[in-house]
Amino acid sequence: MRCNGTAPITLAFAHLNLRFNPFGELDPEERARVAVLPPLEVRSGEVVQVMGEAGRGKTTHLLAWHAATPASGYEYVPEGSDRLRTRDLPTVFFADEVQRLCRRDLDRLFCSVDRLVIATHADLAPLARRPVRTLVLEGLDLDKLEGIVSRRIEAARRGAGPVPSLSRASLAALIRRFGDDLRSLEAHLYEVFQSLEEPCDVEV
Amino acid sequence: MSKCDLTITLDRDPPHYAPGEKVSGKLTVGVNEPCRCDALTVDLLWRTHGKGNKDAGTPDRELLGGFDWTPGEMHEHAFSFTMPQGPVSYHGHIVNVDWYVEARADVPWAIDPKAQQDLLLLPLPARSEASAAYRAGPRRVAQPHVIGDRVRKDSPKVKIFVVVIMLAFFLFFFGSQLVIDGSPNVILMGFFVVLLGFSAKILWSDVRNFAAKQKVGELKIETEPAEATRGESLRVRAWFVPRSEGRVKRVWATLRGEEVAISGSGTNRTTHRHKLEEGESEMCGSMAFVREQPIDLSCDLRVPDDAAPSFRSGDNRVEWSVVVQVDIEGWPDLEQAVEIDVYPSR
Repeated sequence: MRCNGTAPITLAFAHLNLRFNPFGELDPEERARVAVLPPLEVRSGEVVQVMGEAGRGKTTHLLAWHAATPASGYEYVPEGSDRLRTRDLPTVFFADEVQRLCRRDLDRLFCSVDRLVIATHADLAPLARRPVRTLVLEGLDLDKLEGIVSRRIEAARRGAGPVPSLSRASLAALIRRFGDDLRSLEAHLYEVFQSLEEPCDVEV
Repeated sequence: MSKCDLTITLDRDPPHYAPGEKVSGKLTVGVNEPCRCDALTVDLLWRTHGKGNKDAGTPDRELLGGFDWTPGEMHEHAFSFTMPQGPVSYHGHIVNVDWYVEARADVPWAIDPKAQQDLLLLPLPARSEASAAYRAGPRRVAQPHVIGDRVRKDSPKVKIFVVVIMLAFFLFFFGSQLVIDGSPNVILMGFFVVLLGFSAKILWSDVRNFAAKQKVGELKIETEPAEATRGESLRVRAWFVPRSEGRVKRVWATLRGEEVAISGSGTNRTTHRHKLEEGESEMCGSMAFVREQPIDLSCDLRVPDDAAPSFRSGDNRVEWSVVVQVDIEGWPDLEQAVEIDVYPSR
């Protein structure tokens, strides 16, 4: 039911031909599915270090690459923890927030995994003692944002027919306002989509 | 193209169901390639969506069996479930609860084909009734669904303890450096002022209530019934024994609802809040009070017919509370809340 209205008489977001607000929180599997990112090739013995400010998509990149890499492992190091829970590390491994790991577990990661992809807020290249390629996530161009927004909307699509869309002019306005801070941009679009009454060209 | 396609057809359109009603339909499997299915299951489940991390519950599951399918085949399987009491479908601003029938074919060494159909679990109509205080006698109450445990909130003592430890920690390590050679260390002083402001923000309501209680004593609140139903009137009783003489300008009770959604994890963990409609009722106007003479007040608060039912899962909640505020003349106000559960219907 609506918070201050009447009991729902239609399925969620059916008036927009959607199943949910496309810019709400997604679970890791969904985030990986809708991610727009370049293909990643990691050579044997190489470490790829993904860096960037909060909200730039480090976790989404890792989840999506992990989903696209058979027999790979993934671990997110939660706040307050400095240990790696994965005991038997596979040859291809994705580790998120690794700057939280203690030196011993960092060494284990760098020594045991053949193709390692890490997301980190601190440059760990000096500790790796093997080749490290650093990818810095910054900047957001119009094509990439268009891909992100349309994938999100399509993932929420209910059925055939029109769904809300954003013109390139609207997307450019979003980039001017939020820069590459995708998290803030999505929070804004969440509110915009909450107020839409029908599928239309969305004004931001 | 997947090895097989699943399609769910419910036997009701629009798919609106009430608690206790039967949801039935058929699952159609169209086979594209030779395919072994270890388990074909149909789930009845609810899931949240919105600003918070997704929570889900699966109250019922039907296992249709394991199969060896050959291309070109078309199979139909009937299923049926009984809708539970809740949580009822809810479309709020940051919290949504929706129900689904979801089918999944467990195909070894392949992505499992899935199908999903959403439906609505609508609450039974609310009945307008007077509060229990006016009821002639007991009545039968439908078994409500379990809403879930309340979130534990830090007591004022815990908050004060945390703030004192934080300030003591700062002063222990940096106190001696706040002033160097008779002149203040601007950076550390600035940081200390920010820390004090932060502490004051955390403790403001507790400090204000502590001061107010020195005047009017402990405020006790009771609601009747303790668990409310949409459309019902709630009798609120508040009483206190003043510690000194004085005057209240006004005492009033507010029914306050809020959606709470938590997104992300670790450092990205964020709590989002969205206020729902508030209903207010006055308990008394300007009134003098004298030391040790109890004041006992009451009023009725109506729970709106369309109030969002209480809901609590891991990272998504709809919470209701009755807040009593005492506006004391020339003294800090007292504000105290009791949480209540609002059920969609009885």
